[in-house]
Amino acid sequence: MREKDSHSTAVPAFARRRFMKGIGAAGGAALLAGCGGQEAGDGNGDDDDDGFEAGDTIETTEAELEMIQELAWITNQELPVLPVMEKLAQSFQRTDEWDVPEPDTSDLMYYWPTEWLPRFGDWRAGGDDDTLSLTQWDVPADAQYNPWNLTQYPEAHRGIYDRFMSYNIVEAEYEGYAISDWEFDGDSIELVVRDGLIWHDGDDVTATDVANQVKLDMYGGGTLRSFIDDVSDDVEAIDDDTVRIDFNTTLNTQVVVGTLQPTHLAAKDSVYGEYVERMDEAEDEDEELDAFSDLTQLSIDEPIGCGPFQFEEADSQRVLCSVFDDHPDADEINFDYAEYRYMPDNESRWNALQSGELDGEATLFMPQNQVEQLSDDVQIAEIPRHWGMGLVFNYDDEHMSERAVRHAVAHVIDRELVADNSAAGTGSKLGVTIPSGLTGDFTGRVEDEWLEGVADEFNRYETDEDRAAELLEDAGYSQEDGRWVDEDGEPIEIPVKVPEGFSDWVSGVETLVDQLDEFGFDAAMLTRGNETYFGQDFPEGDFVAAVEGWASFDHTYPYYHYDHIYTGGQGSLQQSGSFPDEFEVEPLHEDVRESEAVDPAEIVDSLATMAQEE
Amino acid sequence: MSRTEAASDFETVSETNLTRSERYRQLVDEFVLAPARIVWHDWRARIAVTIIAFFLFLGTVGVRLVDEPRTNQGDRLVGAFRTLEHPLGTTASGVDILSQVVYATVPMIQMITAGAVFSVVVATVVGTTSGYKGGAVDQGLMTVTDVMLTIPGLPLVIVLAGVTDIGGNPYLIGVLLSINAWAGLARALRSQVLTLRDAEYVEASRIMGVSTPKILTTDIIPNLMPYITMNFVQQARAVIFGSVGLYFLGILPYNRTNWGVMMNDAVSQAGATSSMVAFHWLLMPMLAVIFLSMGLTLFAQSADRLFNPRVRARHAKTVGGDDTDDEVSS
Repeated sequence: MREKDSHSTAVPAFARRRFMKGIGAAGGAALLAGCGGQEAGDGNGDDDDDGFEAGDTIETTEAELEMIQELAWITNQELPVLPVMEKLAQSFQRTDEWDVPEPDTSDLMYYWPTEWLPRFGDWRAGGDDDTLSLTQWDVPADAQYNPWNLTQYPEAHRGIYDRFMSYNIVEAEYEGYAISDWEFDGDSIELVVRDGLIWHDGDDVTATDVANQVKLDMYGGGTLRSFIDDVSDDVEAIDDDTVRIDFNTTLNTQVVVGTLQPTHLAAKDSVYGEYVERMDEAEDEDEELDAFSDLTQLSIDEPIGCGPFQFEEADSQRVLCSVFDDHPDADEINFDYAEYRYMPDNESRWNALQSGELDGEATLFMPQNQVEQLSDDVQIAEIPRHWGMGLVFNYDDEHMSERAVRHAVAHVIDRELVADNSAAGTGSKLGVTIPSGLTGDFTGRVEDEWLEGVADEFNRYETDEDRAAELLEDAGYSQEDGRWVDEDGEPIEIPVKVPEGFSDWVSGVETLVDQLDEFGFDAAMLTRGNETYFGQDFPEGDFVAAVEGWASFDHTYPYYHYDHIYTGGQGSLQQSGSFPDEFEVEPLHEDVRESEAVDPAEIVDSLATMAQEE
Repeated sequence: MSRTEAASDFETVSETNLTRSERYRQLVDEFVLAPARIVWHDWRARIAVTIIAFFLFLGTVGVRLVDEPRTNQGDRLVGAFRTLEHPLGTTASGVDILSQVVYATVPMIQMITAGAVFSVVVATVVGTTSGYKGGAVDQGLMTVTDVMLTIPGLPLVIVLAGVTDIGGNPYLIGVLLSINAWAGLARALRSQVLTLRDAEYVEASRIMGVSTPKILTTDIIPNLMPYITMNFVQQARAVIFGSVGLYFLGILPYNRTNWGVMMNDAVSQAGATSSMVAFHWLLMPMLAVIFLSMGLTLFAQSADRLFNPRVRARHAKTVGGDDTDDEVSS
């Protein structure tokens, strides 16, 4: 019923992975309750190609591009996960009482528009309404605002805390925000705190607060930690408003800035300082983990933030925030309050948008039959998400670990039809053209840019049952009474697990399971409660085939997607699907590697440490 | 019937002797025809049997007449009664709703049968044994029963559904939903047995040295049958509501079509409660649930008459009686 991303960017993806298992079912639920349930797009069915040239401004060197292509090639040939579809997020804005940008302008193309637009002065009251009404999944009165706690981290944090930088997903451009300026020289980065930024209790935001934030994210297992020798020394406030991070190797700008950008600044020294100190001074890993797990237990009911909205009160129905007049951007905001109403399912949100109760919704899946019931003053923007549902195979299963079977499955599944059913008439989902782990299909970016020159060599896995049958026969399988069996006469069973709250994923899986079943696999859909699915089944690898996002959402740069697939540690696709460390895939670019055996994680790491041309 | 002449008084076995075929005819009359006649004379039972028979028909023959539900069988969200190909309409994924309703009948019947049989058998065994034996056995069994009675059923089912790997097996789900439903019936049966165990004919059996299981099955349980049947049907109904409810809430894992799942999909995928375009998707499985449970309820109400020996005797032609059929229809 909900959208996973509504929670996860708040918490750095890495922290999520590492602690997913520890926090158990309940925590997992609060954290992940609800991807997929709501994503999709515009009204008119098939406007897939009117999008933006996402990521135009990312400059890549040839060596870098070759690495990306090599990773795409390995994914395409080995197919440990089948990227099924990519999507646009439907974002809603009420226009009768609010002045907002037109739905097709790049001004709107920020991940989480309800968070950024008011700050930029792009979402202003045009009538008498003095309260911007939004929604949240968590019970307001039970929610807490410690980002490392991972449970019940409610939507309101988006206005209460400021992000490090802003990122326009269409322009693929980073701009300073809480970190107003930064300087990256390949081996180190200096972050400058925005002038005049103060906490809601009146204290100045200092470099120490920013250093705390960066350190805690690293202690939580952040990507950047692998490129740092000693967190306590190498992340340092060098003066009141500058933090310096020293890396032990030369890094890729996209990786460094892209990782820092979405961070919400919450680590006020007076609250989190003691935890940072304990971790800094920890003698060994256990002591550090102890301190970190104490931090995950800390629950904050009344946050002291640094954003333009200040926490006022929370009851069982809503969180109320008032505009914080001392925020540097407070002048851009011409209304007094922002409220986040407790709406724990899609349907209540659809109804609330239709009845005019809500002023906007950052991202929500609304099927076409419901879109048609919206009044004319509600506009829908489609924001590329660089994300979508993928079918993850478990290599512990004797059949799924056979490359031929995975390829056959890919040839049987009609990705376009799956995407259409899942989009429920909205045209906001697209079947992946070349399954390779690259995003940007909506704008043709995959073929034209990332795979320029080599796209023809890639396997497109067109829907072709004869080809699938041929692959299976070559691998020693045969057909008996229309069912495919192995050499011992055992059928190929493919139960596909899906979190039941993600209604659009459920319709997608329903469709692909039907296709597999019709072809002669023993396929079935197994729905699981969201908690059980994200708390146990998926992280523990308790599945034969399961669905999960195949990309790391909201990133245009492919590094993040391959990091998500191959090197994420616990909770990553690699770990859940028990992918082997090495794959046997012929090289595409011999400059990148020569032998057939390849560990993609190594290429991902070298991509991270690839210096870019300035 | 044939009459035999006895050589001496001691060789007299019976005044009458039945041939095998006569005996069968009598059995059929007593156990099949008489109930059928009773049913035919009670309008509630008539409706109930028609409904139940209809669903059994759907579950056995229906699934052979209708294509298996598949995505993209038709256009998406076709309304009910619009086209002949999809008389009940289609879902947002283009699945024919008629075929979903029909195919969902099979696991539903399996589920309610398993649940009802399980709870009735356990309750009967525990209740009668406990009541008849008394003493330590009684105490032990009743302690277990009381424990089951006091555990709140729904949370228990939800927890068990989460921790066990039932994987959508309808029989297991039926049993799971009835996991503590037998306790109430067991207690009630025990009280009944307590009054029956001292009846003269039971005492006679005991003195003749008839074994306990035999006394229970031939002397005691038949007297409890109306009550047991009523509970069987009630439990069947409870399984329908329980399973549909839990599927609707998304608590039970499923891998087959189910009415509760259909309703859940209709609401979560298309917001059917607030969308006329999708309302048929919600309505059809709802009607199926309502009809089947109505059939079972009516059947339970009329079950009493089925097992009433006096009513039955009046309808059995082979058993002597002085009432006429007409009186029964009152």
